Amino acid sequence: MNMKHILRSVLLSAIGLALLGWVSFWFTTLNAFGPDGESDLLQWYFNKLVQKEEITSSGMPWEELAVSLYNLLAQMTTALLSTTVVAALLWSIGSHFLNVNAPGKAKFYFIYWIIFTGIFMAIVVGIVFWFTKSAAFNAADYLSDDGVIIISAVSFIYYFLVYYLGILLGTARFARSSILFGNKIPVSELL
Amino acid sequence: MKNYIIGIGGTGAKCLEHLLHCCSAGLGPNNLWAGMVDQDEANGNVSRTKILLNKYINLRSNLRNESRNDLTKKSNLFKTNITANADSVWLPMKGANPTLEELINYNLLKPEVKGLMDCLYDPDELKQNLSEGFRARPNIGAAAILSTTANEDDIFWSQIYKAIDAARGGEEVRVFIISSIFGGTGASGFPNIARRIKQIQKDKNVASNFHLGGALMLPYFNYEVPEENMEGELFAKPEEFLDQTKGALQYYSKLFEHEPIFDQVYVTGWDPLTKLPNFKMGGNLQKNPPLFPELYAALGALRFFSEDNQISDKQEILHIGKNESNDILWSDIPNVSNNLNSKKDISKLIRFAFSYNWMYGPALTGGWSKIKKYQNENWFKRLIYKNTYNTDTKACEVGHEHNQEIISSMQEYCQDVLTWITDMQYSTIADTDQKMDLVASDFFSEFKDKNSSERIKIKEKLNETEKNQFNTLINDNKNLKLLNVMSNICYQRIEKDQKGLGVFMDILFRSCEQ
Repeated sequence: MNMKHILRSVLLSAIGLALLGWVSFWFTTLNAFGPDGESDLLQWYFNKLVQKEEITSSGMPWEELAVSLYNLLAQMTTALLSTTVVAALLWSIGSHFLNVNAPGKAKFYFIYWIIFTGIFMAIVVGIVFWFTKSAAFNAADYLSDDGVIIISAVSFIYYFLVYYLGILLGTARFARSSILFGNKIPVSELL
Repeated sequence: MKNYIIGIGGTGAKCLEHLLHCCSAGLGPNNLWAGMVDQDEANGNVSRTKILLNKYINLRSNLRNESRNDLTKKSNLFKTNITANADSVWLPMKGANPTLEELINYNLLKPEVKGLMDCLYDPDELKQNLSEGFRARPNIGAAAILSTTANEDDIFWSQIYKAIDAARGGEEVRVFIISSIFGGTGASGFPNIARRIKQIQKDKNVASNFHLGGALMLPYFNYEVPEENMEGELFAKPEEFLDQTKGALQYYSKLFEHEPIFDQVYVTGWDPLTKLPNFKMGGNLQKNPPLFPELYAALGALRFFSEDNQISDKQEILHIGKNESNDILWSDIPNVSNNLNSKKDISKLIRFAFSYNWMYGPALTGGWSKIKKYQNENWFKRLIYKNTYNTDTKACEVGHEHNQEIISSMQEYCQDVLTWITDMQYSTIADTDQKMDLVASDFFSEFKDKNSSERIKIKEKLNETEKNQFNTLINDNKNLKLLNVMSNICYQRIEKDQKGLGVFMDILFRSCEQ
């Protein structure tokens, strides 16, 4: 297999990942620095993600819980982004080894892509589930049902999109018919 | 530089067949005029080469058309611009059923000359119908060839005159003659045609820029002659080949010593002799298989034409043959020059023929309604759709007649390449202790050695397991898979001036190299 083609795929995949992935990176950094006084983000977390009544009745200081919540989100998004990057790069490299040896054969590997993507999404769900139900973070106990749904839904959709852009650009040219809308990519010597 | 090649007799024609395949692989010079000499016009070997020559010329002109389909000058596929006369075969003796008696007007000869002719020729030889060649009688062939005129009006000889005129004009000209040393047409034609060319050169006072080369095939095959119905027939007897060769070599030894007509002579032989499965005296049934030693003669010719070949004033005699081992390998194939690697280019052509014949040719055959299922695939969009799209009609024209003609001609040519290499591999070693392992051909072809009309049958379709054996097709320890070819065609750079189907053909050819 031509290493030049594989390296090209890795580079294109990295570009695809970066198109949306920078948001996750920025969000992780923001959370890693911890709560910043009366920021809008902190207020939004309080309004949308946690059980306000429970926190008030338990006497737990919100400032203390917020540190734990920021920590939880920073670690969770790091895990999710890493998984997404690894999955997209794995597919991009692996696509060069799919046995597309004749015209019209690439589409038969769509099933491979569905299975691979299914596994990736299951890992995303697993990561979100582990962090939101984890005993390692205090804040996890105070997340509201709506909060868990928001975190899960946003993670599910957002990281799928990051992954999809990564593999859309990174998949080997000859295997593009094996991914959803892959053959819609215009013919260009750059892509 | 202008190059000319003349294949004399059945062996000469067969060597030209190898040379044509080498030229399509990119081993040939930039231009070449090709002609054949054979009294047996209907000979199966000659007509096979004639058909192949026409296929080559047509396919090349279709794929090197600057306005429509262009491979570009940089492409090595069908690199050599081969030209030929409308009828590429020159018959020394014209007429329906010529005999030597008629040719020399035997009945009108003076009694003393008649007596001399009777000493030189048997009555059978004088009366023998020569429409099927000289039947391994070089004495008949020599008389026949010498009795013809070599003037500028003759379509065949006019090319030689043009070549010598070009040399006089300062252009480098190389002429190469291939034939067997045994047999009839070749044995008689080789020295006589060469001497006649030299005579024209001398008459025209051309002392430089003109080089004459030749390849002589020593015995490399034999066959069993059936005992029935052969009484009174004149035919090439294999048991006489060695004696004929001995005599001929003594003749050439003297000739080259006193009259060095050739600048370079390539001598090829083979031991053990290949046993041909069937015997035919001549005519269209004489379709002998391509054999490995003939490839040596073809590569010798290409070496002679190579720009790296510095021809000295001293006559050079180069010889090649089988090595001591009974295994025939890729390493036994010599390179044409330092820049032209025979093994690399021939194996690339074979891989191209395989992948085109079973993978890409069928995908591109038919109307748009059949082909359009590939329209979203990268290779198709990049190499076919974009380059056969008509902006006026706003449609991809790959399914149109003019493109379909090229696609099917290429498929036919690819089958010729696969048949050629397979037949050569099977036939060279048949009934001997030799082993030839150039290509693994069992999985895509069948060999029927008893059936002369179709010795090799190339499978119409391959199953998945057979397709996956592509990486073992060439025994060169490389592991190029069909997947790699597919990958390569999606990434290979398209040259700026490439057009139409030329883009796909050249990229596929380049993609078949590891």
